[in-house]
Amino acid sequence: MTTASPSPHPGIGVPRRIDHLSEPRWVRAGLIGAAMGFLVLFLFLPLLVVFAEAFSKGLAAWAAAVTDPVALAAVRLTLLTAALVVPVNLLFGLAAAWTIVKFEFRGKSLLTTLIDLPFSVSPVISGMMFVLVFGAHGLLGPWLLARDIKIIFALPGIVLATLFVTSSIVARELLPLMEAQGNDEEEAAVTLGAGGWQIFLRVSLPKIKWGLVYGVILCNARAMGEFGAVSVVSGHIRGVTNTIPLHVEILYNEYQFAASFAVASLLTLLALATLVIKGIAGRRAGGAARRVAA
Amino acid sequence: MSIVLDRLFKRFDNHLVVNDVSLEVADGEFFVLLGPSGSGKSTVLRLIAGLTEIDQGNVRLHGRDVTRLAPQRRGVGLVFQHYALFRHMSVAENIEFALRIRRVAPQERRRRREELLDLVGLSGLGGRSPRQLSGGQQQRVALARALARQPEVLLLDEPFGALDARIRTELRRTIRAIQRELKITTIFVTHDQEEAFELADRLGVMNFGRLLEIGPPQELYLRPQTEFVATFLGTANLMVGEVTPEGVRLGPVQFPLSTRGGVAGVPRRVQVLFRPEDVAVKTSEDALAWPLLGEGVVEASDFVGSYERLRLRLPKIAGVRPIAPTAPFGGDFILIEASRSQHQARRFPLQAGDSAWVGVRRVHALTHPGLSLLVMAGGSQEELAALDLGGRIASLAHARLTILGGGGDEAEVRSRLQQARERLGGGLAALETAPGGEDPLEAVVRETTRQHYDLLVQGMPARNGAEVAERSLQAGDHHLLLVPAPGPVPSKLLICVAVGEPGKEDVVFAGRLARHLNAQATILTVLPAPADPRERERAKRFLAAGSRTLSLLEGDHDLVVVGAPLVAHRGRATLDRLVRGLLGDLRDHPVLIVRAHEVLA
Repeated sequence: MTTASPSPHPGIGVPRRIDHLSEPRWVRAGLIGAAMGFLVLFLFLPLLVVFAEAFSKGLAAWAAAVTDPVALAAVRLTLLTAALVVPVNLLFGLAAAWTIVKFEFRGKSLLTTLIDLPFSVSPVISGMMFVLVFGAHGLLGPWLLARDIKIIFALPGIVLATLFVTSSIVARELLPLMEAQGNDEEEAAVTLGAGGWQIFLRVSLPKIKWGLVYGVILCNARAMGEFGAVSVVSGHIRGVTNTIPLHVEILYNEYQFAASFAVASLLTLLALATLVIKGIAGRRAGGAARRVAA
Repeated sequence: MSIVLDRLFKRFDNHLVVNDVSLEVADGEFFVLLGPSGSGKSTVLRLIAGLTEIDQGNVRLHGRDVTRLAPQRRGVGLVFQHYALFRHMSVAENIEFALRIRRVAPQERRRRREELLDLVGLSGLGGRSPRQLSGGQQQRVALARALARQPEVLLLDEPFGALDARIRTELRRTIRAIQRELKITTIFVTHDQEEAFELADRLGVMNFGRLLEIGPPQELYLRPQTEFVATFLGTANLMVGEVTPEGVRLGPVQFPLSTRGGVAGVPRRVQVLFRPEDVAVKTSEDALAWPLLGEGVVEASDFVGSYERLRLRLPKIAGVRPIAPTAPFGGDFILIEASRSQHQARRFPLQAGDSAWVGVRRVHALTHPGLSLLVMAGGSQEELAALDLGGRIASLAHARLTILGGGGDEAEVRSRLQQARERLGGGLAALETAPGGEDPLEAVVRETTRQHYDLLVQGMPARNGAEVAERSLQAGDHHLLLVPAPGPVPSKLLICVAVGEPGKEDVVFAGRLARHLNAQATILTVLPAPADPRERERAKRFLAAGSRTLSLLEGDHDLVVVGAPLVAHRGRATLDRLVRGLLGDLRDHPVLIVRAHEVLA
């Protein structure tokens, strides 16, 4: 078989479907239809509703809701939280994944399990944990009160709760990638005379670059959108401790539907942008993983 | 000397991966480490490169002790089996990596890179990404990268393992040519015999962490010293024969010694090797100009390109026990591998079923007789202890081990053998299992007539130890190790010697065992051959004192070796009363009974 068009996989033609291995046409159509229907019903439709509601009272009303000082304060708080949380979790995730993949030590499997914990615990419970430790009646409450340090119902609490909830994301992205890549290139670098930092910067980091970007984006998305844990520790002080998701809820509860959806549309836009970048990074990281497998 | 390894040891999870490896590689030498997978050869390379920490021993490169030196500073170039190229860098960047690390000026870097690309035959491909290259090309890049900083030694870890046959031959030539040009001392690891023969100035064969033999390829092929090397390199016909002052004896056939090493004195059992090409096959007895082994039947004849391969079946020959090729269990015949040129095959065509006369042109006697162990696996505690100790001795001594199934019904025996295999796990040079049958002793007789065994390892029951020992010794011509209870591998041997010629055997055999186990041996006492009653009495006292010493210094000696001058009693060999008494006394130590020549009472 000769083809004139350049194929991404030279030498491999499109495999002919083998009849006895492929499902009847109606099964295929049914499955694809079900998946698509589900997406439309639970993703596109709600998205559409969000934007429709946001602009239901016109562009001016949308702009007013978004530029409202309280809304702006919520956006600021959200961005600040994400800016504090993401770098810390990036470092933590990198360190944890590194430790687990590269070293053998006692308690390694325990650490691997614990890394998944923030993911499996309900965010509300996570928030409660911080209240129980740092709250006024909590473990450290009186001590903190005596020194006039405010954690719960203030920025530190919000940051801590978000930090906890999103802490496993980067590590979870890196672990499978690093495990698949192995240690060969690092060992080669060692025999070529490279020291620890040189190996890290020139060999290890480039190897996991896209996995890292992917993890950071996911972590950022989750940090901005986190509701449960933040809701418990924030105290809902308008213009002070409300993040975007909390602000949306308050507006909604106050029957300001248009304003509520307008702010929500901001968050949705953020999510869509994240999705696009994530898609790009994901393709690169996936490519890296495929190259490892090849 | 470029590379000197001095008694290297490496353990992973209590498993000896590198076991006492010493090696000297001369300047500019191309040395090949050959061995089956898992034999520890790659670990040796990693120990030299510093990627794996050394447990014990020293590595010297060009006279510099690098044992504790960081891998970055050893000046070693390493090429990995899976290339390990930096995926995110171009070919040029890969090659320049080491120079960049050393802050070599860009201009010099570029010059060196072009030179290296030229050397490995990839000029003009510097801009490519490794992903755009074939496996063979990637390995060439890896080689160039390893050579970039002009290492003092080059280590190649199965570099062609992932490539197909044609590219392998091509790369082999490239590597050999580059190595000659640069005169760089090289160690090349492979499991491919052909590769090893073609590349090596000298060759080292490894198995289970031991470097068994070192020498030029031809020397190792023609005159191996160990059973493993004899059978691992090429096809081997390996039999147990005898070496006498006149030469090597294989059953009725006497060969003048083709190699040095004839021994004076008593005939000694020896492993005799002859290669398929040393076998002469003729259709009539008269046509054979070589010592005749017998008349056999052609089992199979295969066309293998430039020559013909024959497998012949010969009837049993008295005094000859085959080791390789292995006869099937219960088979009462000898298999011989032979090869003929196509020219000969055309002149005297032979097909399966034809009969032919078999002669041997030359033989080689192995100087290191490999140990061969037989263990009886039973369910009792002492039998399990025997299995454990037998397994560990076999692994340390690089011995062949056969497990016999013991008594019981078939299913039971099979599951017991399966368990025994799992218990012993890896680390054994050769592990066979054979069903036991109704009577364990009969099974021993059957197995020992099929193959030669040096040592039978057996549990020592709490009662009737002497009777059991006697019967086991009667079952063949092996020595006997009795294990009463689980214990560690003996590290101190107490050898009780008999006077005169028979006593020599105990010392020799016990010494061999001690060397394999890395154990200390103490020769305790003189036990005269049964003659003078007074001397006997004295010897008895000596021995009693010996056993007392043993129980006094609890844990000091953990294996007692006694020579057993077997007394023929009513036509059957029986144990001396002294030894019987000793067996009664020593309940908590394993006892090794070394058979001496049989004496008539």
